[in-house]
Amino acid sequence: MATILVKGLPDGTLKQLKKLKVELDCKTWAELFEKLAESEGQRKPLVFQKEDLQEMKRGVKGFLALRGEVSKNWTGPPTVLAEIRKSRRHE
Amino acid sequence: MSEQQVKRILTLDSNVFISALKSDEPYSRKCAQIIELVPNRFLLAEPSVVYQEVCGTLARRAGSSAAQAAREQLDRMIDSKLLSTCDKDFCLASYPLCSQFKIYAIDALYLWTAISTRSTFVSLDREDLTEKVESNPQLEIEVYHVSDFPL
Repeated sequence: MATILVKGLPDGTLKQLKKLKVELDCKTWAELFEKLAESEGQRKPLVFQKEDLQEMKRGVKGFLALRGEVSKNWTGPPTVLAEIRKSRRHE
Repeated sequence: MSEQQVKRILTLDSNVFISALKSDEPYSRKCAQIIELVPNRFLLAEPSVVYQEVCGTLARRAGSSAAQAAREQLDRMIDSKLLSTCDKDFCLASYPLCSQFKIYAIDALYLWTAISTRSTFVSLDREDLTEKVESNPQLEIEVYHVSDFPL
């Protein structure tokens, strides 16, 4: 097992690392670095709490519940793609 | 010990959000199905301009109450840690993509969000966006037109 000494670590970074260490339930710094390295290799997954995910789920449900109202008020042309293209490029 | 889950990240073009709400769109159902994958399979990473495009378009075409309601749900769906503010630094990082991939300015804001968060990017605009970037070997992220996205 290798040992590293880190010099010149900004206070803000240390604070963030300490927070991550708790959030990711790591007992040692080595364990934290190992988890971070693994995460990076797996296309950077993030860790969220169950409450955050429940809030997102409510958001998805609430957003898709607008389907009726939007579809009633906006039928036929222009299509969404045409409308967005127009707004982005002033076509 | 707190409960935690690991997810992949998804960046959706605003046209995906809006099409999910307009039921007579060709890919409306598929767009809704993709959004329904949040948060079980994916978390959303978006540029802040998504608010302007989704809410602005809905306000113009479907009314201000739909726009306001959409804003509230976007707040819930997109965690602040994954919302990129389109400030000067962000725009300066995004605009070179217009030259690199021959894409338009606003499209580059979404693509840069996906690149910087290493997320999967999905759009309805095949002709001017996904077709131009999906097969480019310089791009290290997955890019899909809605119709090609694997559910």
